[in-house]
Amino acid sequence: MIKSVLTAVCKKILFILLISSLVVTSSFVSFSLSINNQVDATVVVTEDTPKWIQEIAVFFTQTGELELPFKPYNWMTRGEFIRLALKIYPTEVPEDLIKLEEQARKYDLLLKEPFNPGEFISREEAVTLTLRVANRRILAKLMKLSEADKLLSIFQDINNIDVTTYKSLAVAVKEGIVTGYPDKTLKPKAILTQAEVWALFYRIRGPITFLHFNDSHGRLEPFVPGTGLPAIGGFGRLLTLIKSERTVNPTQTLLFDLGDTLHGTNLVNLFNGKPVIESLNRFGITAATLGNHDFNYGQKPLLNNMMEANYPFLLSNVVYETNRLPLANPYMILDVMGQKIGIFGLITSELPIVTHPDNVKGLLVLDPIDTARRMVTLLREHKVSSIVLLSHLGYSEDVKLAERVDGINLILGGHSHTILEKPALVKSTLIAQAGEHTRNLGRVDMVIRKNQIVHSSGKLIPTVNGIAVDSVVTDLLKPYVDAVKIQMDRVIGSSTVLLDGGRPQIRSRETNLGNLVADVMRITTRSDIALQNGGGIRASIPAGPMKVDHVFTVLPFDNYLVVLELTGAMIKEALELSVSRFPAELGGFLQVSGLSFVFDSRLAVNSRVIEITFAGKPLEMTKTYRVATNDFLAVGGDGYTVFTKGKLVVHTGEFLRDSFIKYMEEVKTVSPVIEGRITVRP
Amino acid sequence: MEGNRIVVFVEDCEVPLFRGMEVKHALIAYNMNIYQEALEGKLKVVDEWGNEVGLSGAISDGNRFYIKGR
Repeated sequence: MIKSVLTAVCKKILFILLISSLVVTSSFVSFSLSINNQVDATVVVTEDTPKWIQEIAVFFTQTGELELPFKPYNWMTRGEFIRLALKIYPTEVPEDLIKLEEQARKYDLLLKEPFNPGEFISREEAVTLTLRVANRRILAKLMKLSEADKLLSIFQDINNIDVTTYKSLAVAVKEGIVTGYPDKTLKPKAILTQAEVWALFYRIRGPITFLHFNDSHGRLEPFVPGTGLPAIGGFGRLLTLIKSERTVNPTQTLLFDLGDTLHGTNLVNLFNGKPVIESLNRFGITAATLGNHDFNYGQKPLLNNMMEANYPFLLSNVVYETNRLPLANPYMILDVMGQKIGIFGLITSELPIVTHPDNVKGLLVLDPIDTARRMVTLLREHKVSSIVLLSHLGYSEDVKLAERVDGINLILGGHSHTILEKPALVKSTLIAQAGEHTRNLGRVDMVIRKNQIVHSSGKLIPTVNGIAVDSVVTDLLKPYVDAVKIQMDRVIGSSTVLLDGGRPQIRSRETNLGNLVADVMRITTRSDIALQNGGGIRASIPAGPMKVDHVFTVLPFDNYLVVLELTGAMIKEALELSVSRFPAELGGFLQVSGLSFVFDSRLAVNSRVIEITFAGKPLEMTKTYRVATNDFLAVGGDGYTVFTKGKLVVHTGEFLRDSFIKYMEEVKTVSPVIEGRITVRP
Repeated sequence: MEGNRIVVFVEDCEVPLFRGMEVKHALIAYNMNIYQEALEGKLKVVDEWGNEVGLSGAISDGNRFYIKGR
């Protein structure tokens, strides 16, 4: 009888529990987050819980730091706070209260005596202790009282702040850890709820935001990306986006430039990259790495630019040959709210090939993968919590590196101009890259715990036309924009004769301008021979003073000057193609220097060239010659596939027109004539 | 590789090039008309993972590129 009554009671209790649990459950909502299939956390909180509490609850459940059940509106005691602070640190969290007090003393987390673990914690105490967890205590010590007064003067209840926490609150305001209430109060004595304490911790242990851009190639001003399209990009728009993104995560946002920034447009080339550094000094850049094009002005201007920058350049695989000292800082260790991040830079091993040899004279480029392994070991010895690589290797090389080198959490990349809409995960390394030419600002949010990514997200934010151009950049660039106009009018020399670049002539016969351009190519590169396609020369230059603008009109293409090793037979094959359409015009008709040749247009195509003379003797078919040309022809442009069979010995990394300008500035006056380099029979 | 030569693939066709060259060179060597259309923004180039790449992007030996309409 008793047994049956008990059973009935138990069943009733179970029924009530079930019903009540259903009622309770129906007023709760659950949130799931799954990122890159790494983490899947589900948190249950009441439906009317504000969104910010929901987000914080989900976040800290993912990181494993928030233990359920979460009671956001409960007051937090000092003992509970210390437990959480030790967990966030992270370090051992003792269950025993005596040991907890000892541990709190050890980590300097006791603000008041006695300990009183059951007492509720106030905002000023919690903020002060949170700063200590974030390794920010020194900032409070160093802060002058006058600065603290100024920072806190905007709050009406400044007089309520305890003298022992005064400067800590000022630092917290300065660093964006606390912002105050809309009524301009801080409420320093207010007791904090669990949700409010977690919100404080979110400011120091939430996701770290990495903003990044790469390969801007001197696009400081907005540019038109295609016919009829509105202007996009430019540093002004980039800065607007950076300022906006920083407001999202004010305490833990970093900004990186991944190289190839200093060179690429008249606005920067004419001033050796100076406008770039002056602009970026206003951006609050955390660090940058160097790209191959950043060496284009030579080592001295590069070092000057690095000296002028108010941010460090990190590069770990370029050293001086003589003493093996690094060209730039190999790495840095950054303290982000108490989390140590190791950051190092790498550049492509092709650097000696893709820039003029003089630009890298005396420098040694070390293998990126070997260097990366060494840097990871070194940074781990410094007990960093995460490692970030600033890479100018290119995306496919970044993927290889992530596959072969363990321990790098994030690669922010450049060089291949790859548009990664979202970061790619390769093994346990995230890779991000933001395209080119300031078209996008990249953003990666990442949370690392115990050297592992526990949360990540990322996106590209395009610098579309609708985004305002920050006037800081516009104002700063104005003198340079004006100076460019003056530069374009600058006289670089003169010609005593008309320089003939007329379309019919330059594409079918020898002209004096064709000879001059080819001579500049040959002389500048110390080559035996130079070959330039007539289609790359677009106008004539009148006799008299020669301005920079003339050269830009004549040589408008961004063609690089390169040197190939070709055999005499290969050169003959190229000359045959050059005259194959004669007397019709051909964009690929070659203007030459260092040799002369005779062709008979009556003969069959590919056997028209009957005589080639080099240094007063017939060109030897089996001998190898150094031939200067442009990168367009070198890769087979205009049908010159024969060039791709040669050997690339120099890639100057310099535009042909820049070489031409330098040459004119040196020789001052030219008087080129038609001298029989190309003779047609009959 | 010898003579700084590399090979990349455009639409799975082998394109011999030199180290230090860029995506635009791969297109010039592959098909001048396609290069012109890409230059005008009518076509885009993606890598073997489907990511769009800029015409001035650096290339490495063995890279694969594909042409897509915009």
